[in-house]
Amino acid sequence: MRCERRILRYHSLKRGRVRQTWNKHNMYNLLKMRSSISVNGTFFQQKWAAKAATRAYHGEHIKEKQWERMFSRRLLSAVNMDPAYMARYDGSEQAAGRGSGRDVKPGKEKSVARNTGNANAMTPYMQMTFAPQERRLDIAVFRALFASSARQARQFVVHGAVKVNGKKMQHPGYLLNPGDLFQVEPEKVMIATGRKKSSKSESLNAPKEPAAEEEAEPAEEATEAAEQPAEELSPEELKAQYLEGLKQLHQHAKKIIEANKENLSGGHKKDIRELSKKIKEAMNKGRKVGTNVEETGDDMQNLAALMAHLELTPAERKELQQEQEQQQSPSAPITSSPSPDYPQLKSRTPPPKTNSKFDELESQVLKRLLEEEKINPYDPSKPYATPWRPRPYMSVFAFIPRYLEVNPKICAAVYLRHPVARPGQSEIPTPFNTGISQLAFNWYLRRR
Amino acid sequence: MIWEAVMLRGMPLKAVSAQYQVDMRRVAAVVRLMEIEKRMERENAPMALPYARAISRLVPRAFLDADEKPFEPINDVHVHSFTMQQLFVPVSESRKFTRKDAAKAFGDHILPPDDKMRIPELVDMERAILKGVPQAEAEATFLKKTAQSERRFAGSQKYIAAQKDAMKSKVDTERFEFRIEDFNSEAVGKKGRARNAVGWRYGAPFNDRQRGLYKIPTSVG
Repeated sequence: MRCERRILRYHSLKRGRVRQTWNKHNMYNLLKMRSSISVNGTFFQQKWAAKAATRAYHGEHIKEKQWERMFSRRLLSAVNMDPAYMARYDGSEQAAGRGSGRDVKPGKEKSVARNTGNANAMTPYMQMTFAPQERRLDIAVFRALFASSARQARQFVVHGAVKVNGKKMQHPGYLLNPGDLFQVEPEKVMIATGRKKSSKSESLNAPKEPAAEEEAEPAEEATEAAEQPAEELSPEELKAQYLEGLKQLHQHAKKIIEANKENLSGGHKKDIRELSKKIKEAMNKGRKVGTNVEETGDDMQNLAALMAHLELTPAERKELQQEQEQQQSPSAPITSSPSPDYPQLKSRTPPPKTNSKFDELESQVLKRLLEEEKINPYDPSKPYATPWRPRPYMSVFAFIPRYLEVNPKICAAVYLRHPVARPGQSEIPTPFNTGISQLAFNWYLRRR
Repeated sequence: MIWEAVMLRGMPLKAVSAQYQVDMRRVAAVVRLMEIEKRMERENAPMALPYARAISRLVPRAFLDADEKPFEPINDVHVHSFTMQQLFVPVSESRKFTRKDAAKAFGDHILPPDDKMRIPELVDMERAILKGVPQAEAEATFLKKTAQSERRFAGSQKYIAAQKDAMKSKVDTERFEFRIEDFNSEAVGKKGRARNAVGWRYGAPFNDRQRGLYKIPTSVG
């Protein structure tokens, strides 16, 4: 029904229009505009150029007719009234004398009562030219950093990913009222703001990842399948198998921690991924064998419980004893005392009685890595690059205006009030200076 | 921090706003959003955790407890368009021409800023301090007054809701509770198309599919 404005040569570097997007070409255009903005020509030409430039940014997807209808010449502003000033003066001191405060003798400094809390500058009313647009739902979604462009925000609304006050709202032109709460689907926000899957990693992973997934799934199936023969196996055999698996897991974890101790942000993510998968498997098996593994979701705690059951082989015990003797001889009282290796779990789980398998630092490193993996997992099924990272150049555009209160965790924001101009600042994020905005405002006053 | 102050310590919104120098509406919004967040956590709903962490790194963070710079002005007074014109009001030199008189000069319905303050209790507190009341005592009175005003507001809201509820007659069956309201079907305006008129009128065609009519809802919930 509605025909959209076309987006041919949207980020043209030659025309250099600045748009409401986080595109890198847009960033280039923004910097270019900053350095060279000069308006000359007749007044009409100046207004035309200013209108063209500002409208290319402000609600470029809104049709001109519609915007003309939305435009309002009444510009909102607010002034901070300092309660201390209000309490001390009733305003008559400003009207005293001949109507503008008492005169002071020349040479003396005027001691005027001041209403503090306001900047000592003019109120940039002209920057409020496009304020009515900020009420639109799609632009508010973009301003709250839930979409990478106003057009994408509009698409989210149209596709039904945005709720207003808990109800689905499919009109991007819905004008938010003060106090309205809008919420975008977190998955959509992650797509919009996340890094793209690079073709290289895709091509690298493409043959691997499905295999990995298949591996994971059959692994689960295998464990399920193993359940039936497991009943046929004797419990001792099962236990032996299980302990063997745990031992391998432990060695694997040790290796990862060793690698991570020096280089904490190193690229051992794949290893960690594998480890967490294996830990999960171990938990599942542990449940079947009958060790006390609770479904708390805390991997480290469960691992501690599992490791407690892991007994050392005689050879290992000998090695450990030798190590301890060696450490004891050059005055190392810390290791000599059998300290529990999970201080944070001391109250909940009994400390393992066998010799410690991880020390404190190691366990903390492992815990941190596992938590990281849990929050931000590698998942090739997602349409964005995983683990999730912000898209490039996002930091340049990351700004949340004051008339919104945003909670990025749940991807929700409240439209607190209409944007206002204050002495010295306006709340409309715009790349244009007051002069340009004033020319645009004059254009829409329709007195050309 | 704000959520804690409001929900756990039970501080009135006005007091929280004054303490942390955060707009009252923002205080309310923060509490609302935090409540939703906690509910979603309880329900194990999907959340954008890595995204939130990235945002917290990218966007500057305000430290509310450190008293360096107030986060935002909390005593905003909207500038009425009537007051944006320049007036020439002859006033004798001997007369005390206050804010109230100035408001009156702009128009009979224009309120002076004293009546538009969002937290008038703050002005009262400053006045008390000027009169020589110790700071601690004035602050205690401020807390008490704000709590009182909040309670009064909640009470009036409750009363209005109860009044509305009382207008409906309820019929409780086993399965449903029917709520019946009285409506005047004659009150349909001059053209029979009043906005809050009830029901379909014989002979009056719907114009909801006419071209150029704005059909986007103006408010939700």
